[in-house]
Amino acid sequence: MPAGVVACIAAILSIGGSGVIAQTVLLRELLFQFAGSELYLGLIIGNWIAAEALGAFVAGRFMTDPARTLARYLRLTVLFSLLFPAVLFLARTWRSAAGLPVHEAVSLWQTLAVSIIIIFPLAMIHGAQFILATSIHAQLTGRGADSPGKVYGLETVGTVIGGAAASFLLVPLVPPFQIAALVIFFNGIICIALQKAEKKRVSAPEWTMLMIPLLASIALVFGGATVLENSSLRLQWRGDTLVSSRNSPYQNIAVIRNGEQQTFYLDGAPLVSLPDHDTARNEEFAHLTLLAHPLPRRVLLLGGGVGGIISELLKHPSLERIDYLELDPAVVQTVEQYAPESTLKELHNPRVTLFSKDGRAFLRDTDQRYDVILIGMPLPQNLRGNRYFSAEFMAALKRVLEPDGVIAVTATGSLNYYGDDLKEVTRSLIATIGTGFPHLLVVPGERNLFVASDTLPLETLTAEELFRRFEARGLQTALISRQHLQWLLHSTPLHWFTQTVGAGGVVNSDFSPYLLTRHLAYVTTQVSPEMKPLLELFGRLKPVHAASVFIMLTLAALLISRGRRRPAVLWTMTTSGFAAMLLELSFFFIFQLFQGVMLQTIGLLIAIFMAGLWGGSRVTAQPPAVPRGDWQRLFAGDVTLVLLSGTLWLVATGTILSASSSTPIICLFILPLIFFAGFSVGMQFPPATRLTADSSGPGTSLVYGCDLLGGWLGGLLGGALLLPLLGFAPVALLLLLLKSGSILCLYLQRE
Amino acid sequence: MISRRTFIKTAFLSGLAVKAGAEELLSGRKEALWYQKVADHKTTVRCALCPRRCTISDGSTGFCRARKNFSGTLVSLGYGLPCSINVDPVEKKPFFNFHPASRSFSLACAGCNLRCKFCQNWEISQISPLQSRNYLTPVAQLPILAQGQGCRSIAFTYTEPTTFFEYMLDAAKAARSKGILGVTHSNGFINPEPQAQLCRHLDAANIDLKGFSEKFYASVCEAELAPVLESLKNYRKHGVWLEITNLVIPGYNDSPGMITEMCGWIRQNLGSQTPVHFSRFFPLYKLTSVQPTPVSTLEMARDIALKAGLKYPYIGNVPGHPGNHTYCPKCRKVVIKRSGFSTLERQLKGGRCSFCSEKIDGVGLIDGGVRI
Repeated sequence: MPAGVVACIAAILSIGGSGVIAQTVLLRELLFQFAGSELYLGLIIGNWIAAEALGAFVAGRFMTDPARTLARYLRLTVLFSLLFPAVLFLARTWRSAAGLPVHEAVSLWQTLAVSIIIIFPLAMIHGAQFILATSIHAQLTGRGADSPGKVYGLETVGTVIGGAAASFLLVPLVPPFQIAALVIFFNGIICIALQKAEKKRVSAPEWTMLMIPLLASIALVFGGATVLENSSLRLQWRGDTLVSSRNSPYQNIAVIRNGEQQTFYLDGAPLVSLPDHDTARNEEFAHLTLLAHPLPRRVLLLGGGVGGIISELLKHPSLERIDYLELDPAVVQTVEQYAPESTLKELHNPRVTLFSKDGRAFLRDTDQRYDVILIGMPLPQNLRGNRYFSAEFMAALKRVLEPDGVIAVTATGSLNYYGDDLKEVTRSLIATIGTGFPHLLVVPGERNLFVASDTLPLETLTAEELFRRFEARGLQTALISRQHLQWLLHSTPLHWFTQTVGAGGVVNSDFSPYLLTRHLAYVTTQVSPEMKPLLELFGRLKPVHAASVFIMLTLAALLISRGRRRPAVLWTMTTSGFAAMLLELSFFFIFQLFQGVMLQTIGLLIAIFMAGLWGGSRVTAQPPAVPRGDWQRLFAGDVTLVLLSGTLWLVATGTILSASSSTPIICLFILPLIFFAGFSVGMQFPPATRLTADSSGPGTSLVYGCDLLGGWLGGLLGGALLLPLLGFAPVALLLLLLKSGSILCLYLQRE
Repeated sequence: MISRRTFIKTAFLSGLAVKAGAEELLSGRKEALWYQKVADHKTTVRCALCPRRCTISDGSTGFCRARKNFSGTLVSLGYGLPCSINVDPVEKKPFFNFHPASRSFSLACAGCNLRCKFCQNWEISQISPLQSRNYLTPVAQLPILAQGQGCRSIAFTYTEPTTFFEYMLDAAKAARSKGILGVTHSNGFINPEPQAQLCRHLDAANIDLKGFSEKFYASVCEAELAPVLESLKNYRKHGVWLEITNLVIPGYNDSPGMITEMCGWIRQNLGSQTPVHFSRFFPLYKLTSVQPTPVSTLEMARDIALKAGLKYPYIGNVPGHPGNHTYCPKCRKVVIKRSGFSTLERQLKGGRCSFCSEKIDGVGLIDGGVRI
């Protein structure tokens, strides 16, 4: 094989690899801006795809001169390489750059705008690179007709390799700017190889340009990355003394120091400050919960154990063991490294055992039984957090709790006023707890405390009884006293709470995260009150609304495509793009719900989907041997999407697979589904281009446009709105409806 | 124009739901005090209640969202329609030298004339009474409800009481006629004339002195410091018992220089008897990424205050801290022992320290020598 072709193949592999690596690294940085909420994933991926399409369009339309293709490709690649660390820097420092205070919440619009600004240029260049590489490949091999398919395939291979490398090697081990250095270096080498293969005599200006990536990567490796890392972090935490910042597979963990005080942050939100404890939280949470149990011996603490609560729990003389589960090992490591002696002493108490494991997995696997379980997690702002506030979670708790055991959870509350969102969050939490634990003690406050049991009649507990136990256990506390207990359990605030919040909340579940959506609405209106009307509108969305829209659109498509082939095919491709994107996101999220590790594996998951897309397109790349073969292939793709939607429904309703299934089974099941979501739309692509061909050639750009439009809508509307608001099972049925409609459309127009 | 949610009311504590219609609200609507018609304009008015002096056109509300122009008549929207009613220990306001260990019937109507980024009650302070869910509570009911709950005082608190000035004024009058005290927790952003009118019927005020620079007030509260200082002096002048709350936010208003300057000003202009509560900040509202105040910072602030000659500096939001207690300014012994809002022990005799007989400044300091 000639050197030029080898270099070209390497370049195409590198396009795929660099793209997915950049996407993965930026996704993590951007999710930091969205408090780790995966629901924005669809938005980020959707916009990435749209920008790629725009880049491809621009390149296909305006960069057609074959003589200048290589030079353009080289320039774009150099630009991509340099832009990657630049936007990475921008993702961290845009608040400082825009003169916004770094510690203050900014409106959702600002954050959305910035994430689009960060994504767009990079993704556009990436799209253009693909088109130019196809052209170079055609020139070098002299087989123009085969090139798009070949380049697509090679790029996919690059994506899979890059995705796997990003997930398992780069992101866990290499800091972001060092990753950028690697990407720049590889691209630089490939650019030189391409240039050398093309031209024996390379001019001085060309050399200068080619040396830029190499010099940049050398500069990055030898100190530059560290400088960028440190200065971007300094700007991100402007005004604070940042002691440490690290990315775990789950989140960013940062520590800042102020005199003696160290504050630990998760994805930018303060987790705990040491050594000064939040006495009110610790004492009320620990003692009211343990006092509600007549003889607490074995306690499980799920999250939130750093910061003094363990010492409070240990004051109860009957306590034999505390199992403290922290979900992210890196949090524990950071605490062990930076926390003061007093905190470490708590954690190293012989009665305390520290576990680092996904909470749901721990509950699934443990043989222990507990008298008391304290849920120390904050109200959820993402699907991963929602797994600790769902009915499925309550069932999992029940399995490891003694029949007369109690569970306790705290949540944002108020003694003054409940707006609609906070009221719904509170009602939903009460209803969800009620699915497993019918007896509930409510202690209303700025932070409500809910203590619940399956059998103990907690609702009849009085302040006097709790104080009797308090004295019998010889507890010494700073805040809790007889007066304080009387105050906390006074009938007036409780009466007000019961009247204001009311009964009949919506049960929150893994696949229908009502509590999460209302809590997100609550925190969003806090910083962007102008969004309240819009969020209220979304809140009223029901499956029947979406179904009506889908049916009307399908009817319109049927009407427009009467006697015409093109609209039918284009409708199919639009709905396929929509369905495939939404299925992809759903399966990503299911992976997250069951395993809690989506962020860690996102690069790989994206690569699997892309591999599916490519695989599908390979299978149908050649024109069919039988008449009407392309129609059959379109049908086959649609039927696959219908089957996948059905499978999603079965998973979402708990019919097949659950969070208690073992990890290998979940992977074996979900990963192929992601592949086939890509495969089904990939296999429709080539037949659709042939069926929409006219005198000017195949309808590639039209089909591509419709597919992208569907995908973009699927990411934005489907991922960020339909899935969380309606729940997974209704969305599965909606997709079933939509794709059945497009099958009908195809059936009526087939030849 | 008017949200339907305004009209779903529940009579407090009775369990009876009372529904009021739109006409009911409008027929009983309360014309605001302290505003003028703008010259050469039929319907535009200028509000004179707070230093903002909003010019309000027909159909609009002022900056506080609580005062609306109906065809040239300015209406106090929150009048008789509190969105929050509560029974709190008076220590929660916080008042530490004013009727300690008594209960306070606390209420708020929606609205505020400031935009503090650390607002604890943003859900009600940053909306209009037209948007909040309210309790239909005529002024005459308030003393009855307060007495029923064993409250010594009625407190206007949570949001900015200035924005429901007329309701506060009438309620304070009604309370006093029944022997109940009227107290407010306010940002002090009020014009001197309405303040003078209010002070005739008010017994105590806790004013937030949120920071001690114009820059802080401008960038964090969208307000000004000078009018607040002016109103603090006026409360003192009108003989209303005054306590001050200073929420200490790391990186914003925690510099020793600023605190020193503030304490000096208080000592000089308000007197050494003025209690100052240095409160611990926790991440809230729009300052969600700011760290909590280190306790050492609060201790530093308290030391500065003591050095400046202030007799009663406290540390708030840190239950169990020695800075929660009231100390005798002379013998430095604890005369009121607290944790959080709970009063644990009193060493007082005739309003004096029971150890050295030094007078303890305050109002309603009841005797006690035993653990409660």
